[in-house]
Amino acid sequence: MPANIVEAQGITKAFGKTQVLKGINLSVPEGTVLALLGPNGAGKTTTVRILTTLLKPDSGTITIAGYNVLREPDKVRSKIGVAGQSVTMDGYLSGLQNMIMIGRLYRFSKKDAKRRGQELIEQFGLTDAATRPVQTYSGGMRRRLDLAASLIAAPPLLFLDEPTTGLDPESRNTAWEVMRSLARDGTTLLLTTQYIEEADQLADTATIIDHGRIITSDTPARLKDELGGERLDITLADPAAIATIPELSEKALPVEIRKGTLSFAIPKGESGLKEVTSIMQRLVNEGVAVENYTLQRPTLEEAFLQLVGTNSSTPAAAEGN
Amino acid sequence: MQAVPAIPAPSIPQPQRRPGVYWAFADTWELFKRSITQIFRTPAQLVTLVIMQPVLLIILFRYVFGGAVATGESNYANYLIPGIFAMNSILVATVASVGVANDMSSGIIDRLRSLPMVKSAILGGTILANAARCLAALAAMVAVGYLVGFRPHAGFGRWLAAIGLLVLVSYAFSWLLGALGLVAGSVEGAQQMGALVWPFTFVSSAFVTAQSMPGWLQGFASNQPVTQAIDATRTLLLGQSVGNHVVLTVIWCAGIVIVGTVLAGFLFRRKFN
Repeated sequence: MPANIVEAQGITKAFGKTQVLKGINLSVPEGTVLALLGPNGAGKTTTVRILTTLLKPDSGTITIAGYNVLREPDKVRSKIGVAGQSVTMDGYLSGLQNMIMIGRLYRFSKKDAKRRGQELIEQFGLTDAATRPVQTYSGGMRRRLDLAASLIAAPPLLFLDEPTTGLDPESRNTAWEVMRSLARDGTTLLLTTQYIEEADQLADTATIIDHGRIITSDTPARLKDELGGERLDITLADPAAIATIPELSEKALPVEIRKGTLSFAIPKGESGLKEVTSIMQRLVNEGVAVENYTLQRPTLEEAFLQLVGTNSSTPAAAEGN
Repeated sequence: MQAVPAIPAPSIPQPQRRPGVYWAFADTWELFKRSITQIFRTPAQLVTLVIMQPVLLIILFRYVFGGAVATGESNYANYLIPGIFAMNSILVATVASVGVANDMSSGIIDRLRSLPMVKSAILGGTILANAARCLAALAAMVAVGYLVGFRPHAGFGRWLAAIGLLVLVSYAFSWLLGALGLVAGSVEGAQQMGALVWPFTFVSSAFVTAQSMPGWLQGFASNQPVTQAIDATRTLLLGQSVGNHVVLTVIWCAGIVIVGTVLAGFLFRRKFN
């Protein structure tokens, strides 16, 4: 078996005249977490649907856990778990009935299916609701049940399509804990997300996708490095005072983080230190009162925006930080 | 979410090893149980489809039109009720398109397709549940039939044959209509498709004899499958000679099942490729 549990080369897919995927290559080493990061419509869900046998690509070769996705889809299906964006449970059946049915369809004996279903329902804190029809569940409960269902066969590879979209912060943190715990125990995770923070928190590799192409793929830390050095944010007591130092206002980045805050790109290393000193010196010399200043590493968000281009607006971009 | 689940669980079950044919039946059975649970969790649907509709059909045709119809049968209820039985088998089948369209437009289809299950069971379960629905409706109709004057002359064997035939007709047409549910696009679209069966239910020998129709309709009315099913049911239950009606109905059903399953398989693959 190859070391990469997911090996995809040149996936393309068009819906009608719209070319959704324009040649996607993905390699996911066993036991790692890959975040497929991109704005809405980038091709994340289409990629996941193709990798999970739900959709046929127009071209490309995909091997999952050593099986060819097109030739041996059922072998692939027995190795993967999928939790999609939509709720994939029967609303009329109870949580437990859904779990038992899915267990049976994974070929477990009646006894095993029931035991495994109860076990997971308990682990995900749904015991009290186990016998209620799923349509009476809250959104968060349904997502938990969905995640639980994708774990029934304890698959070595789990696909999670935007697992935390629409969750409240507490549920999101718990979902992150679940994913971390799975990763610790050796499950390979491929998750899609619009949230940079999610990739930063969970992923070994962040693969940025936009307009059906992989833009870059690297560790979240190195993606941040690609932006260059640090960023100096200076908040002035009187924002208008900057007008007295025209060369500084010209040098400032064209983004305003907070009102009255100037941001400067600072190169790495010694030249960076000189830059910071010279900016500060200038302000002190001109007698401009500084309310506060911070020096920080660029966020993955900025790396993302720089790579994807500022004109594609994404919820992640709109959120700011 | 409160407690963070500890994963993986202590013991992961091993899948059972059985031949493919076993799984085709086992998976269909699982999905059949699901559909049956759905029926019982929607009492309104249960009452409408299984009791109201068939009973209203009997009352409507027995008392509203019954007086004006001449079929040569001294007891019109005896002529009418077997026809309504067969008509109901077809009407029940239209529920299959709705059920299938509903599954296709909800997230559950993704879950099922990502499982290593036999895919034909996805439709097969819904369609088998439809046959059960037909059986339940028949029970209600037999009771009401007696109340409105239906007096069959049939022993246990003939009853069994008639019921088996009616369920088979429903099952066969369910495959055809279930397949159409794959292209309906929405639940509403699937509901509209139900109208496709009207020529078969109404241009039949259910209410009047085919001979009473204009010549250009007679050919269709006397040879189409629903008329065969009605005549088979009628002759079986009224103690008449069944002729070749039963055999022809079974042949029709077999043909419709083959066309329905092939069409369903084709449309299913086309939809998801």
